[in-house]
Amino acid sequence: MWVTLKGKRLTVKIDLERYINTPYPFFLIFMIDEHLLLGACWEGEFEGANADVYGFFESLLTACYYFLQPEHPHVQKITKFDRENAERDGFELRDEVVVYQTTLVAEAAGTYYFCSTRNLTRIYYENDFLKFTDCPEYKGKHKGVVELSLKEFIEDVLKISREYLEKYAPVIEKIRLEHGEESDDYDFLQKFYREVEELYKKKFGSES
Amino acid sequence: MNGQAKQLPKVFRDERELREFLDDVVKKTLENSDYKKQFFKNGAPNKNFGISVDLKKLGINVDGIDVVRLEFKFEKGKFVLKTAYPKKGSAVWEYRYVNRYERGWIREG
Repeated sequence: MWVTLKGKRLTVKIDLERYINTPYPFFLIFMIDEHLLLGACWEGEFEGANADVYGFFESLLTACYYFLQPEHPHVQKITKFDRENAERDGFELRDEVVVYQTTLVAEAAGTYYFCSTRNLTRIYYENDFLKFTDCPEYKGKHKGVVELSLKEFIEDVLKISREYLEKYAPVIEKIRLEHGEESDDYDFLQKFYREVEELYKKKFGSES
Repeated sequence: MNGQAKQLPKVFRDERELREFLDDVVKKTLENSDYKKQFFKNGAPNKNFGISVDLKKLGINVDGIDVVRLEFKFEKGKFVLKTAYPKKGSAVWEYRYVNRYERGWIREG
């Protein structure tokens, strides 16, 4: 059974029925509008990439956390280093002030650079699973950049992360424990979510 | 490939050599101040995360492998390596099982 978490532009789908005993046990699809960032398309149907759901959401929240503190020395150092890495990976970055590379904790699925300017989020991606798609609408669309406003991105991440933590984390945790996994630290993720939310309110509070 | 047997590239002679390589990658990653930063968010350890390590930056030379991916979890006060695999290099092949029931494996990239 696929469950869907939907923001204004971001969509995440997770299959709660299939579990593979690896560090990436669940099938997950990640889209922004029609851009398929994580997952594949075969014979007209989407298929998920294997991912660690907790790590996936932690990565999205980390991107927001960095975007909201571009002046922090840690963020500046990460940015400097990941800008070099992005160039090595063949991406032509522009005027971004924050650059954060993540694997999205998905299995060999792709390369992602989450970047921000003062007002924009740009995600440079190469989705390896999409490279050899047989869906005509996705041919040649495995590598690209998607742009949205910074506010929009953070609001969507907060919305879908909250939904994940409230509705699906307990279900996913139950499945994991049934397969003999150690429990994940949800207190940490809750706390981290609230920290990002606070930073968001500080920056955008008066406007929203 | 497409139903035919295919000789995969071989980089390490045996499991011991592979293990030594992985130990070396993890050790040098942790010694590298840039990569070490990717373990933390402003000082607090990341919980579940992956990093892509450029072997050239670590001064490791292995014919056929350029980039290795490492996935960690922070458990009971320690970073635990969950898995590691090569991501880029001339000996790194990607396979995709196209239609699980009919077509078999094809080579990608």
